[in-house]
Amino acid sequence: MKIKSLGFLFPLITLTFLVIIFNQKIGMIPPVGTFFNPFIGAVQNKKIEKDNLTLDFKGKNFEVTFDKRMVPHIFARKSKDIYFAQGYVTASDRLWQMDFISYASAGRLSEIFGEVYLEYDRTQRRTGILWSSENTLKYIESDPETKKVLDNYTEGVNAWINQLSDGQLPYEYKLIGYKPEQWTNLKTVLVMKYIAAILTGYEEDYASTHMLLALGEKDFRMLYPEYSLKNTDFSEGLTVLLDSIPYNEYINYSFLSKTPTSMKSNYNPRLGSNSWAVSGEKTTSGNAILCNDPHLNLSYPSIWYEVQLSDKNMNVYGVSIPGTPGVIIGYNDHISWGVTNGATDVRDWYKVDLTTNYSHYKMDGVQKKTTRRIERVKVKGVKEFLDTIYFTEHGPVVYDEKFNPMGQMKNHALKWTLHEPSNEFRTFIKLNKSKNYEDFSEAISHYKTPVQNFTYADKNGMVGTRHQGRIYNRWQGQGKFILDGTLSDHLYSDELETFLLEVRNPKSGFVYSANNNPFTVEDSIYSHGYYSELRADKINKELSKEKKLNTDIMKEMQLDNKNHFAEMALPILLGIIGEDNNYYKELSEWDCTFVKESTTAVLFEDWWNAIENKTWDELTRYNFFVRYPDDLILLNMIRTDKQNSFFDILETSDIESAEIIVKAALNEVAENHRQDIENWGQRNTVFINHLTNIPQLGENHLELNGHPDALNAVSINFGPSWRMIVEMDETPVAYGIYPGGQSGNPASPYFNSFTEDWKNGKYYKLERYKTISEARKGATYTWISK
Amino acid sequence: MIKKIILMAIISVVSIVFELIHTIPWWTYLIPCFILGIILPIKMWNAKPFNIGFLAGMITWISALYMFENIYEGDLTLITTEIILIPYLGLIIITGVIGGLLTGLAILSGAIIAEQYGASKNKI
Repeated sequence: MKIKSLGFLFPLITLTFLVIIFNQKIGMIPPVGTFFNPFIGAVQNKKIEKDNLTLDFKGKNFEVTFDKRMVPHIFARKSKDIYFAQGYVTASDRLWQMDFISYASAGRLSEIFGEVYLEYDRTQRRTGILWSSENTLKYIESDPETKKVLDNYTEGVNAWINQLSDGQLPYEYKLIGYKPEQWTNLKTVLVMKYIAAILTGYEEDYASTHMLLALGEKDFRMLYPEYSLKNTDFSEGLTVLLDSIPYNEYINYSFLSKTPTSMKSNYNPRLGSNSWAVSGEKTTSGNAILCNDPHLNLSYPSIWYEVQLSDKNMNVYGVSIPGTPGVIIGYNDHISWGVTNGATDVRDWYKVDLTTNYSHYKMDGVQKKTTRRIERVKVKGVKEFLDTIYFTEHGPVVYDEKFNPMGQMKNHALKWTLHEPSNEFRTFIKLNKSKNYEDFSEAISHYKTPVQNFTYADKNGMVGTRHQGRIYNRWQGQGKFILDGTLSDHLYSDELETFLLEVRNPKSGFVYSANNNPFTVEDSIYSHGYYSELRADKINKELSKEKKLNTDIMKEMQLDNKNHFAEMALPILLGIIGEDNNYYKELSEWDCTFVKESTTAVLFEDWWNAIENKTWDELTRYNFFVRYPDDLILLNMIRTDKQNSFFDILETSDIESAEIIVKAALNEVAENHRQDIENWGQRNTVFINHLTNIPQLGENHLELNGHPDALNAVSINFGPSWRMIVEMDETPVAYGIYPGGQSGNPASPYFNSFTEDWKNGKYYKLERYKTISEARKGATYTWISK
Repeated sequence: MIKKIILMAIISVVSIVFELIHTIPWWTYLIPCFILGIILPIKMWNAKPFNIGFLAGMITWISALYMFENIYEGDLTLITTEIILIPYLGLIIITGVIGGLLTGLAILSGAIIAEQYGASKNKI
């Protein structure tokens, strides 16, 4: 009888077991009990319409209208309510994205995905992202004004999270099987550091050091110099900067003990941007015009979120980064501003002499103590992982005896300006309210990381630009190569006064920046970076023309597909192949435009690549090789130094010159070109990845115009992530577009509603309403908090 | 037949009410289902508890899926079937089977208790 009376336990235990199983993600299968559950599962994410809401937050007064593109226009009297509302509204559209980025930045992905991400997480933490974010937060919170803004933003995000039911969770949480945690100011800082890392993470110290030894200083300087362009048609070639000062002699083979192998960076050196501003003298209307298109990795949801913030002290419109307060690129009644990546190298490695137990390191012959930090990495499904990071005064020792997945850089300390506390939020909060150049200048003067070129235009027709950020004065070559951590004179701490790198109302009537080297004078201060001169030169050339400009011309410029490198190179290369060549006519009639339909663009691209491959065969044999010398360096060699020994192909017994290489390269690729007519669109296929890397949520095969060396720098997975043009009229008139959409919900049409128009080079007129009643007229939905 | 429909309707209505309360964990509705298994006259009306529960749960989940899908405007195929790579019919079947299994087991557990409790009372 007893056994019988316990009979109900069998189905009950089975039920409990099923509930537990159905409640968790197993392998790639989402938690089926929640995911397929019609009351809270994926089907609930089909709800895409926002309701008109009356919110009940005590003491918070604001009103938000969403226009027909779902851009929120936030109106409040007090600034605390503005940032609260910004947090609330941004979370309503992009919660998963901002939360996920904060996890990725902190090195916490193992918490969500398990052990597969442990190496990634350890790398993030060991490069000092979480450590420096914690320090940076302390620093930022010592400024009461910024702290208040971050607190309000965080409170707003949490107000959204706290009222979310399971059914309302963003789709990605359901798919992956976890829930949002409370937002914190630290998470806001982590998002900012994540962006800073993307923009300053690239560096070639390891490869350059080995290349310097392999080639010798003379050849290395010839191939990898700091340079600027002499003139825009390249007829005078390049100015090599600081050519006469020798590098420090410490780099020799005994300094580098280990056999080198390749070390590929996860960061993209070609991320760039364009920005320019023209003063009233150069425009038909007499108003200054500012243009900006930052080229970043293209992703869904987009890195940008359009927003208008209006309180008693400001009325600003532009794009924000979900997870951070304020507007990053935009305009208000008085000024407009844009940014491009500074591209100055701010990340250096020191070879340190550590004791075997990592307790001490040697400097100037004296043993110094290391400090330690223990990272606790939570890993889904298994025990917490404890990781010890040792620090010298240079920074964290990223790779050591216990962690060295790259097989390189063991016992090297990383010094990175990203590690140092700074308050970038202050800059953007102040920029949003700026009324004139003095305000602008004050706002950016404390800006440190990542180094950016800020471009400015205002209602009085004034323009300006400044290369702004934390840059240290360094000796020639310092930081370009691995530094010696045993010598204190290899450290640096003297900051460069960046206002020296400012251009303000120049005679030409315009300013520009496009990741170009701001240090253009031959004997200027030493600085080194991953600069790119081509787009900047193209902008300079276009704006120098004697014609009056308007916003339509600016749009054409942003969408210009002419490859400026091809414009410079083609005359030189055609001169070599001669008119008798079968392809001379096709190439000479081509206007260097990289549009989808062009087959000649493919021919040129392949031709140039073949020239590079043939010339630089000496370099690729080194297994530490990472990058060919810049295109302009090779072009200059073809122009002036045709017998240079690098043109000789190692495999052949003949001695080749530039002429032979250029002709042979064309013959080689022309053969393929004839057989397989591929156009540029088929070649330039662009991906927009969803942050989960689930292909169905992204765009996988967009055939697009553009080239990294054209102003419309669209390539593979990066490109103009936001195009903006602002004419500083009495009431500024602005246009903008980004690929993606305002909603982060993949089921929503607003998830990617801008992509088609972005692809086709269209712009939206940006609606910055003066008053809330004006905003209500354009409203699709309204949220009011009283 | 009518009696079976009544039983299923009661189970469905109670499930829906509890499943629409979003402040409690999603599986909480199984507790009232379990209690229904005890108190409803399932055996008396000659119905099989698991079958009744399974059918009620399946119908509830499938019709809820159908209803939400029709009142909301987003693209369901994009967010589910395209990603987990199962056809739409598969989505309906999986949803129905999960809903049915859970409710069926809850009703069955309750019904067994009722039966044994009733049986032991008879003996006394």
